[in-house]
Amino acid sequence: MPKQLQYILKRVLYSVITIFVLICVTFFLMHLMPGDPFTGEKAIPADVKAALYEKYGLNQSLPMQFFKYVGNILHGDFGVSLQDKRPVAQTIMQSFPVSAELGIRSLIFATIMGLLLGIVAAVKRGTAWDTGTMFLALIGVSVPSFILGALLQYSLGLKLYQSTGRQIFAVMGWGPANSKFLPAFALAFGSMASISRLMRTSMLDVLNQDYIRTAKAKGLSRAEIIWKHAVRNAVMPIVTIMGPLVAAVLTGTFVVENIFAIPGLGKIFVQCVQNNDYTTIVGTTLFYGSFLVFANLVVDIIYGLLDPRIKLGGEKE
Amino acid sequence: MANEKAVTAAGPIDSSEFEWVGPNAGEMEAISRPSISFWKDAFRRLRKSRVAAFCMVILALLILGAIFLPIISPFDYSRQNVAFSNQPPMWVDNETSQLHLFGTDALGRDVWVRIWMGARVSLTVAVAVALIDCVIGIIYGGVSGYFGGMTDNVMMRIVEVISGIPYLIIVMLLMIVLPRGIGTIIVAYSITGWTGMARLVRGQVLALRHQEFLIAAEAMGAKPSRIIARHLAPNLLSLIVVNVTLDIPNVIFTEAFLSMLGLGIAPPQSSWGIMANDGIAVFQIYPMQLVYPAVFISITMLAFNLLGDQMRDAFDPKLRR
Amino acid sequence: MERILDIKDLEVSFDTYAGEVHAVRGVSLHVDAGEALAIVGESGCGKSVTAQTVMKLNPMPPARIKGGKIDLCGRDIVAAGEKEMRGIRGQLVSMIFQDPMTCLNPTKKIGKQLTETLRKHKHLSRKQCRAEAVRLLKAVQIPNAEQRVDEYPHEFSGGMRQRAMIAMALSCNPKLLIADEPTTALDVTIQAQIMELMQEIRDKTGTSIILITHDLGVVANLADRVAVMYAGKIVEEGTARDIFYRAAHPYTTALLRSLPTVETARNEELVSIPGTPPDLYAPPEGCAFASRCRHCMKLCRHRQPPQFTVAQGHTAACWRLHPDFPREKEGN
Repeated sequence: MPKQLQYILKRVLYSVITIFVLICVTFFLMHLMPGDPFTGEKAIPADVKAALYEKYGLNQSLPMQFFKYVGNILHGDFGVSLQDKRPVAQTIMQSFPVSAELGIRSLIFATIMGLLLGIVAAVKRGTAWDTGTMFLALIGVSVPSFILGALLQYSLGLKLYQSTGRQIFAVMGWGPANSKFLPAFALAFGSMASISRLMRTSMLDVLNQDYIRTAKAKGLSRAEIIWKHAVRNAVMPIVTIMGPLVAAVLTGTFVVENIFAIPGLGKIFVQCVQNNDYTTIVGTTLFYGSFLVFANLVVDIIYGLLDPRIKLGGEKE
Repeated sequence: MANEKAVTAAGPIDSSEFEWVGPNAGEMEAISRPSISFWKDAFRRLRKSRVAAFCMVILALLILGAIFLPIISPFDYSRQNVAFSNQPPMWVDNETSQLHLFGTDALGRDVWVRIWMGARVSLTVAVAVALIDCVIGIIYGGVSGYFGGMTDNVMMRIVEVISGIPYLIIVMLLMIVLPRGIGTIIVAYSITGWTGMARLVRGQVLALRHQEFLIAAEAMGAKPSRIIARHLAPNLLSLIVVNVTLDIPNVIFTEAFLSMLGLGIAPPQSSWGIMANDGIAVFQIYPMQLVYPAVFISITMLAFNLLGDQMRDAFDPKLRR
Repeated sequence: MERILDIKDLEVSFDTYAGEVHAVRGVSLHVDAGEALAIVGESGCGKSVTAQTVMKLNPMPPARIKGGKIDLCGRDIVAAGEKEMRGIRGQLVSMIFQDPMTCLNPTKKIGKQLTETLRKHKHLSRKQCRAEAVRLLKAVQIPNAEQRVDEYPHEFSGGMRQRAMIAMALSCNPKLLIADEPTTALDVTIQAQIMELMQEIRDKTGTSIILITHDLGVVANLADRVAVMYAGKIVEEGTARDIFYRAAHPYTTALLRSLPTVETARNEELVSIPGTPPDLYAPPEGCAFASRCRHCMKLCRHRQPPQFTVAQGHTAACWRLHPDFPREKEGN
């Protein structure tokens, strides 16, 4: 047990360091920006300005500002939006759940379908199933999610509506059931492709192992060998890419939300970029970055729990 | 006699057949299959692959097109003519009586020329970034793996932290802060992208340093330079080539992605990402304006991905025949 | 005596990228109830392929049974379909392999792996399976069986893993146990223990055993009969005593000579057989051992010798056993 704990603590430490570095980087970059957060169209009364400067330490030396910055963040204060003067934290909290839901739907779909397709391709190696699924996967890896999203919008959204008169798949917005399918699918397709390719390779690798031969020698059926022995071992490498996959899906929401007019954090982010709303940009990137680091940590811990070899020590690499 | 069956089956045997000849030194160690060197085998496999050939042809066409087509086109990529905006493909320009092969965009610019200028940008950036990632990665990973011990430990810890920071986040921040331009893009994209290559190279160097065949080579008196050239190099080189080939589509994707967020190259320059972004805005009315850049992006990424896959399979020693 | 396994003129080839590999070129073997047969030969001589063909473990696209018959307790193996084989594997015949570490699923507990076939065929409950697993581990003398049942393969030592494999193979009481180089990957002391275990199993349960090995030394105590294979054919077959004391084939004598014994002087050079076995892509016309044989005759180069009888139950495929062989020239 202590070895397992050691592994987890190590991962946590790395995550904390990474987030800290991220904070430093965002702080540094924010200070390269011209002007300060409070130059805007509306003139702010001098005493209010002084108070704000005090609060955000803008009249102090750089190191002090940094400390204040970090301190604020740890209190959940990400500053105030230059655009609408609302606390950034509030904006994040409002719109993140939408992005999260989109992301989660995509991930679940991508994982389940990806694993299944990978298993089918490996088990039916060399047949049409194999070439077909792998070709599909290749397309998924090569066609960016936003392009796929636009295409789906056009074909399954608009054209279908024009030909059948019914809005089977909603093209915009987020709320009714039929609005969630297209964006989630567009987002999931790329990840599904990656997972299926990796799963296929992993399965083929596992099926060549000696213990599969042992299982066959025991008289187990093909189905039993695949599901009771092969899949369990083949899934391991997939867990290792779940971290980057979550990152890909989450960043993917940025663009997909814009195409499908979904009121998530991604859409807000793009608006901020266009409006030069630096505090929100920084706050959002910091939030996303930390979230992704955290997601990676969770994945690492899950992997540690899954692999019995780690339980008694030894690195996963 | 017990041997009757065997004897009759053998038939009559001339007594001269029983003449002693002894073992044959020449035939003893006959190996009927000629052994091929690693490189020859790999290239043979690659050449045989029709898929790889097809990809290389496509990429060659793209590169040639990017270099020459804008030069021979009658239109300049930034030439605007708002009166003739959003024209369909194969439309003849009223001013110059020339054909707009792909039509015009919202500002009346010729889409065909912009696609090929965009090809220049996208391909240059992609290859440059991939190569820079490669160089930094090799140096960093090579040093780390070669020296091992404490140096390796520290260097790898740094890599872990750097790669823990989400790539797109960093790139986005950099693009917001830095002035727009091809140089900036190249720097921003490559600033954290080298970690993958560094890890790979370091892993290979570490493993190969301890490989038995290296010890055997040293034991047989081979000089270090010879060892590096004939043993380390093939393993590393194939890894590097495959990685660079597969890195390129990622960069193309990143460029397109960032353009979608408004963080792409500055107008009037065009890149495929910018064109896709513009195209999405009018997709429902003028679908072709998205389709052209989308198709080019997808085909390029597809070609590089496929080629990288084929190369990886060709260089995989486990698949040697 | 009931004949458990009867192989006649088995021919197995592999269709590879570079051509056809004639791995097994006419092998005939038999094993009776309660008997232990050892198949001895160098790497690549076809002994593993033969054994795996009995259980049809070789993936049949590259592998192909070109000819011959395999009779296992009255079942025609060559003609049997996959479904029938599934009922035979693990039940009628079991196999254990060389490297127990890679042969056990690293992510499954030992107990579960032991009783998998039992659960499938006898439909035992989970509790019954666990009890049975403990009993099996105890039968192969693994200490602390109660705890070991819930452990993973990497927590076992090499010798214990092989014992667990044996236990797994015997879980459904097969008539025949095939052991493919079971001790090659183990230390010498553990080797002896495993061989002792297999002897005990043969004596107590009457299970027939086929032991495949390249090491003649391991064979001595366990084997009732020995078959020596070379380049896809059986070159000599007989009782253990026949082979060790009255070897008739030059290859067998060369193998025996290459074994260092207690009496081998410290600075005495080890005897090895010069040369390497022939490439089975293009098997030689005559006797496969001809180019390495110090007794080679003109005849041997272009005609394959049939099995000649040396004594009751002892055969060898060598032209020197032909009645017309000029014995005066002996001494070459």
